[in-house]
Amino acid sequence: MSSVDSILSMQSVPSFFGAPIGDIEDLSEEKIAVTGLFCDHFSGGEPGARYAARQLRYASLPLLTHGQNISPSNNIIDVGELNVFPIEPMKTQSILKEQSFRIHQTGAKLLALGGDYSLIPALVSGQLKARPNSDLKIIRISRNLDTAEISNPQKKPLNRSCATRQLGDYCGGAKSIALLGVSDSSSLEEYEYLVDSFVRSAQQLSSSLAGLTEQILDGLPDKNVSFYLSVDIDVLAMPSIRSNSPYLGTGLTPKQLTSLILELGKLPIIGADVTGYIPDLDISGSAASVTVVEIIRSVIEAMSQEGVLCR
Amino acid sequence: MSKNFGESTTASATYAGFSERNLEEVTQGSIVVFGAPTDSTLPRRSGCSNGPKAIRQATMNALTSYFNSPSKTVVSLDTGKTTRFKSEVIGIDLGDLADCTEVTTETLKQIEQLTARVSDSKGLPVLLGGDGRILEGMTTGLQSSSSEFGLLVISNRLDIPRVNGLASKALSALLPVSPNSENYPLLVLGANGIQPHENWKEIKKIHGNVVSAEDIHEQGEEFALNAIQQFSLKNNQILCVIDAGVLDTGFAAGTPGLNVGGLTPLQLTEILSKANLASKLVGICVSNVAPLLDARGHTQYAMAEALLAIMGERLFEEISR
Repeated sequence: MSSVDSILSMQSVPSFFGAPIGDIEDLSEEKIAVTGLFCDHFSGGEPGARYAARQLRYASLPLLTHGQNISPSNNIIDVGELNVFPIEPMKTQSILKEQSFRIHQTGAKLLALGGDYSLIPALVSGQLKARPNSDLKIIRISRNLDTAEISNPQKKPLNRSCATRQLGDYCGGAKSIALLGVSDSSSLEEYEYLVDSFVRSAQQLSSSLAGLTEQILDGLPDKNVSFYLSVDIDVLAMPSIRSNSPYLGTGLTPKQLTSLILELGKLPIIGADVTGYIPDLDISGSAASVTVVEIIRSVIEAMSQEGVLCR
Repeated sequence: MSKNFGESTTASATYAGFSERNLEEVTQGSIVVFGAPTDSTLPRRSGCSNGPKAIRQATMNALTSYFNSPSKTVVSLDTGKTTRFKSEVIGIDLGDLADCTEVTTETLKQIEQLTARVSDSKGLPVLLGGDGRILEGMTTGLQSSSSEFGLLVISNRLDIPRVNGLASKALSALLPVSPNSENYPLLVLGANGIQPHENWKEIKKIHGNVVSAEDIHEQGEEFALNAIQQFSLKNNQILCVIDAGVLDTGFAAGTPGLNVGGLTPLQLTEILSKANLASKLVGICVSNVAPLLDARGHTQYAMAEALLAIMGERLFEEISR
């Protein structure tokens, strides 16, 4: 071996946390299929979240090579990006539902990264189709309620402002939704939709997380349930990270957010997403990306835990 | 930028959704917004010419929760308060002054005339900048129209900047107050960094007061609020100036100058929302917003929040459910 050979060090194609790159036939129960969403076209605001998955793959590599304690689970598989049709919302909704259905049919859990929250109801819809007998509840961590009236679903099937209400419709109504970390100021009509739901503001959560999961379960008539966890990076307080929502004021710190997610790991989480991160706004280079990687790591950890609080 | 402002988000939003009208349509009690897209000159960093547009857009984003609500009402989960945006408020956005890319004597004259005309019609002039020097035009305009007013300046500096051959001017020089006056015509909040000794002396000479950023960091926002209360007792009419430079650069990089140790956006909005000055305002000037210097857009958003906070009851009302 020449001296030049010894210096050369090749890295493989970046994947989330260096996980094996696989396909649907590699999935099975106990596996977590991590996938990217290259789509932020249907929410009407600043674009950029579509690039999050690519950035997060690269951002998770230095953590591995520098030996930080991220201990990637050996149960995750990077299945690449889900197919989307950026200018055809109906087709995008349909194909996302189908892909989610096929992944969940294998028994694996799906973790979708990047993109925009408007896509998530389609993924949950596919999950419910694959597991028709499961009693699925939604835990949404975001500063926004996103429970506006659903208007013109044929023309606009993917719509961020009513995505949480769509999820409620799929899962049995507003009572099936727990919203955590919401902004101190929320639209009256949107809030009224959630009047029977479990809702906590960022300020309320930042004081204590003790007993949170028990409180979420107490509000449910049947404790034999499973959960879908949806995390929006907009819940973080400025100026740590800027996501696709402007936010000034109270929010969660990255540490508070990861603690919250790990606390929720006591519940059986069978699907999750992390959306709303725009790498272009990470002007420091990669600090925000690395922070989001840490948040995703806590989501994977929460998904990998046994749901100790449910029968 | 928000993704939630219905589907009507546009790059050319008016301020808070106010209607675009002419100066002739200003009536008593109306809030009249106009912009002066003037850039700063060396040695200060340029970028303020985009300030008015960015503040308008950021204001729409800051009001997203209200505009997402059919009744323009929001609920606070933490306090239980319900607040409505007063759609019935007469708000007018005159647009931006044309052909004023830098502050010149001509620009200042235009601002002066516009301010005076709005004030003569009993409207509240709200000037969006633009370089901090625009304040001079507004004070002159108000002096020719209103009776005596106090000047509340929220800035890290005790002067307005030098531009295009116009020398820097101490804040105290903007007010025609006799040195023997017992009034309390000037209050500066958030001063930080090295300031010319002469400016301190001049402010003291006219019985003005300075609350530094350090005072606020060490003694809390209450210290600033007490000073505002004293100032408010002495002045029935107040011109409020919010200079983006008062914010710490770590929170808001989009300003012509740098400020290490400045106020946080939360401190600023907390102070302004608790100051209860809305009924005494005769004018508001927001200056030194340079959005291109802040890729994350925090500066204009912080200033939009600050401006909404100072207008308080003029724009919002608390309602019971």
